[in-house]
Amino acid sequence: MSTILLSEISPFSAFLMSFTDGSTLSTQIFFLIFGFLLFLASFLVPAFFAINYLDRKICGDIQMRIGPNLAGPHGIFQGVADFIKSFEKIRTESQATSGGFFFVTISMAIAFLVFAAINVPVSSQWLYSNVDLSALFVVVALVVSRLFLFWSAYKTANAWSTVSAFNMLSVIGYFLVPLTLALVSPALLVGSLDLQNIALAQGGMPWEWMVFNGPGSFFSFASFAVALFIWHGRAPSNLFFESTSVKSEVISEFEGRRYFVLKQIEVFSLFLAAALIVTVYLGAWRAPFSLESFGRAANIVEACIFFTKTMFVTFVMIWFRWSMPSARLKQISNLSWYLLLPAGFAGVAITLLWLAVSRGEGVRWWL
Amino acid sequence: MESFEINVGPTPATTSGPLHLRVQTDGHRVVQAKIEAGYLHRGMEKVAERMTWLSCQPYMGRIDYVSAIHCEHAYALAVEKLCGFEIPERSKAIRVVVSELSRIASHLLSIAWLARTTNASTAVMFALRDREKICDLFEILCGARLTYNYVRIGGVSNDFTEGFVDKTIEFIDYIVPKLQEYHQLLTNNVFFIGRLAGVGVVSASQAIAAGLSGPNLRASGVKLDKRKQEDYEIYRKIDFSTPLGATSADSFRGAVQGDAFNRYFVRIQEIEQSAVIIRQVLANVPEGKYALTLPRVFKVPAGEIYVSVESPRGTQGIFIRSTGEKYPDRLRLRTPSFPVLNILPAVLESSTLEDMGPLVASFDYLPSEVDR
Repeated sequence: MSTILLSEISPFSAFLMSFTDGSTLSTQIFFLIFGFLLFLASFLVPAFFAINYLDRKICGDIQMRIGPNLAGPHGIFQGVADFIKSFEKIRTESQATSGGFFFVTISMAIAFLVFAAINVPVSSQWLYSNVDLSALFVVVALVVSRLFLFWSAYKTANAWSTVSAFNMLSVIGYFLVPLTLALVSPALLVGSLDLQNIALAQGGMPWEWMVFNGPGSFFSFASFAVALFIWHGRAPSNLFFESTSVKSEVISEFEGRRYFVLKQIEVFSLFLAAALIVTVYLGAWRAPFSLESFGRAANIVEACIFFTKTMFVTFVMIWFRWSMPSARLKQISNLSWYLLLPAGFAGVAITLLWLAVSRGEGVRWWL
Repeated sequence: MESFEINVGPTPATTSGPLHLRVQTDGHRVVQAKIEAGYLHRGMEKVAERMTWLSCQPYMGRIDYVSAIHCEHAYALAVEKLCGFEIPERSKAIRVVVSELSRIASHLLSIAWLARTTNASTAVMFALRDREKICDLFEILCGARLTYNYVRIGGVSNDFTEGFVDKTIEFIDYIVPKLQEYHQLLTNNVFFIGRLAGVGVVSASQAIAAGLSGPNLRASGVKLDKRKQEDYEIYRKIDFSTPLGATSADSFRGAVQGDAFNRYFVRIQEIEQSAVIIRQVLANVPEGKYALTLPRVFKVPAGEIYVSVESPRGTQGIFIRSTGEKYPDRLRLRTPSFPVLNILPAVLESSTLEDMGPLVASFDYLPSEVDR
């Protein structure tokens, strides 16, 4: 009875607890916390360091530079080195950024990103949080995270930060509608807005992925991918994380380790965007072969499949970022209103027609 | 959103040096822009009055350090004209080669700054990489990479060094096809065109009234090139064209004459023309001496003269008055970036905060030659 309760809160913790015999309340609470820490340690931290490294190395390759090459073999520990270095920085706190207010807002901005991340299913059992409508929850958590970031930038009273913060709000506003609209097609096809259910409704082979499930899905996929790409705040939409241009960033008033932590939001968002695209449209963790013989180890195979796909999408995003200049806010808003919004509506309309014709069986029915 | 006064600079990302803009904004829109120049003032013109004619020469490279050759060249030409010297043909050819190499380097740096303001960081790296090759060439030629002190009164400091000509031809063969990379990354990039097209439009009459010259003026459709207009060195004998930016035949959506995109496009076209010039000159370098021998105590006859050359940024003019002494009595520079300050506040006032970076960078404004 009590184990069932834990699996409703957190399938990943329940999965961990199934290795032991205990099922008391204290064991459950222990596994709830342990599961969370393990999830962070096994899923988010390696992904974060991997993307941090890949971003620099791929950027170096594109720009015909060497890139990081000193910390560890081929510089793979550069992210770790930067993390340690950030603690060495002298804390020169300005009047604008002192006080507990910023600790709260920054912590909340990061906490909501983590809330979003723990809702992404890595494998059949490897899902920390079991919230209903998790696809919508992730979108809302991302928005709330950015709102806290906006708040802290606005409170610093730096003119550049304020302008960048309003840019950030604008971009979120422009792309919120196309993004949620792009979730309607999967919801119609699967009958659920739960990320794990969406993952389970897809197959391992590419033609079983959501993106090929009917002609409407492709429009929705394009809309979803572009909106998330713009939302995570790198070129061409780096209107709020923009250290190299004349404009500065939302976080330009923060220094040392706070700057380092806030700067990682950009990397974190990149990873989340890629993970969401993979989960909703590109087959999630589904393996193209049978995993029955693997037993519980099947989770590891599924997680590897998920990470491979996510890293590929991340690579495409990194590639795009280093080949593109940044766009103007007007160009970004035009992209949303004139291209993504019609594409989103077209996706929903075509999916509805498709469902009416094919009774929701997609390409498989047609074949 | 309330109105802000935002300080851009004194060391903004838009220029390679200090330029302070006080910008009054209304939301995204720039309402008023006040310019504060002078952070790099070194009193060059006054310093020159305390120097002998020959020791004045190295200071000239410091006025426009991005293309040091041109200011040195203007000074040398002015003194030679005042003295009535006829310099050897070989030194004229050498001066043209180094001038054009320097022009390519300067335009590459300008493109790098412009790309940086639009966050196209890959293009920045590519432009700096290619500019480094020119710095290497100058190092082979005269040992210096930035301020050369190579063009001297009566010629140049030394002849072509071993391997310089071959390596220069090698570089020209490399850079001309390489421009395709810039076209792929920037010129034909939808986002890049979108950022620059129609931004900071300066009409031909405005440009002339403000005193713009060089690529900034030619981008507005005025065909003024000192290399063609003034008869200096051997430019009259060389076959090259003066680009005026994108014509109606090119399909750069939204680009109009005199906008930031055309100022960029003129520069990238000029790189090609400079390559054409270098190729022609190196194919036929006259034999002979590379410089005149000057007396140990060098005096310039009394008189005054104004000479101008075409620098990468425009007309680099120099006025010299001599009283027949060992020192210049007065030395005054007409630098091409200075007139940009005439037009900049007016152009900025109709722009937005996000256009401000590319807009200022598109003028290739160099504070060092304005403040001097």
